[in-house]
Amino acid sequence: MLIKIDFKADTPLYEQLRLQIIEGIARGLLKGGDDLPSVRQLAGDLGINLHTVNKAYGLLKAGGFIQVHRQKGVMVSPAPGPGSTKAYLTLLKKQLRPLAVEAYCRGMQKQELHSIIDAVFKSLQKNTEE
Amino acid sequence: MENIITIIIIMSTMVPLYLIFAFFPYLTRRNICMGVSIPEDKFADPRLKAIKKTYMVSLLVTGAPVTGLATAGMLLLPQDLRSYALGAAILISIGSIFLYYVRAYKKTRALKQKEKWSAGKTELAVTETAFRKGKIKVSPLWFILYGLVIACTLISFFALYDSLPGTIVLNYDSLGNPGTAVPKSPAIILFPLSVQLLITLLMVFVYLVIGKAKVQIDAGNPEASVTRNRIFRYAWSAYTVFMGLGMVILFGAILFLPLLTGDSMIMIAVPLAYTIISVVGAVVLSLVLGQSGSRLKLKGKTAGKEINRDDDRYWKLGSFYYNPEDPALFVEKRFGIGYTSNFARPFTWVLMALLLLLIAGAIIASVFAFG
Repeated sequence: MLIKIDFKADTPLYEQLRLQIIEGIARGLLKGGDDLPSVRQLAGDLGINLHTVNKAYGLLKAGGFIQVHRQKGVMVSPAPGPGSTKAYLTLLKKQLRPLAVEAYCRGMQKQELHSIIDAVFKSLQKNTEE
Repeated sequence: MENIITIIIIMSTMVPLYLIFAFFPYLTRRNICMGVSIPEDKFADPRLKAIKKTYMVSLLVTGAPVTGLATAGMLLLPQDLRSYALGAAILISIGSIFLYYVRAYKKTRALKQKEKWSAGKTELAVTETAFRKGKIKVSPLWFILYGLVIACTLISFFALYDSLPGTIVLNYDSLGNPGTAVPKSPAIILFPLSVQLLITLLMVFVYLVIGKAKVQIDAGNPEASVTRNRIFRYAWSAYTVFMGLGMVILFGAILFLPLLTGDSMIMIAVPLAYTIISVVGAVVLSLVLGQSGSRLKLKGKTAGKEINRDDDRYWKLGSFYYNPEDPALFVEKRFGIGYTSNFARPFTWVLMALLLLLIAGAIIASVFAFG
């Protein structure tokens, strides 16, 4: 899959990398067992620090999205992937709360917020079915 | 005959030197102009076109008299001064080409700063995680043939040892007259053998670099860029492997040519013909593919909003890459065809030192061995 890094964006580079790899898996661009470039290779190809890639890979590994083997290198975790664990649900609630709070504060309807999430799910499902 | 060879030598050095440098501005990626990064849709800007044209014309206008003088020098000077004439002409050429380049680079940079082309665009660094899974190189198994040729040279040398002439000629001057000749001894095999091994080493190195070099994908049209990159690497890896193999065969064959023919002219003609084929091959590949396959006609439209990250500040004079933040060792040249090094990496300097040692070692060894 293509990875695009925006050096001027507010999102830190490691986070851009992490989110794109997760989206790649969600869209089916990266399949379980697919190889990913080594830390050194990916850092070199993007022209970013080794630590940045290391950090992104570390977080992805902790989240169960990828596996890092000493010999075989880096690969996408085999299906069904990490699933929605209890720890993840706790984190998700924590992260969603301020977003929902701000939407409420701005007078948004519950349905509007739901439809945004629906649209994301729909676009992802369309991709994986193709 | 001598004059014809002189002219062939000039034709196969000076003329390609000027022509290829004159055409370099037209072989770059479409987001680079004279070593300066530009948005892809500005590639055909009339002012940039004018800068490139001025550069090209200056080169050709300088090239013609310098080549003429070099030819005259080669034809008229005493024998021992001739190679200096060519050497001096090449140095003058490289120096003047560099000055013309720097002038064009500075003009382009000034224009870019004035126009603020990148305003309102998203600057991205793009790569493809599966790039190296695709076909980017010919099989490394081809290098087995190198080993076979070297083994054949070794075996044939000892098998045919008795029928080889008593003195072995190691080089010939431009007229086909024997130069350095040494009495036959088993140790003489070390000369072609070490050259063969050196060539093999060099070709393996280039082959590895083609695979390792940074995967640079154009943000404007990433899918087409991936294809261009792959075709470019594949074609040049094939060129490297097969041209290198030819050289290894040639250096082995030098020993046995006297057995086949008494005509020493063949010793000049064959290497010269091979050099010309190599140069023509490289020029054709460069013209057809361009840097990173940029000249290939591929479908896919260019998105105007996304452009490559502006990394001009890491490109000193638009040609020397110095970026301590980038772990990549080998990156694409901005001006020219092929790859260059990240001079901020210590390993680059280690490699350069090794290369210098190798060259110095080869010179010292040959002086010691053959006086």
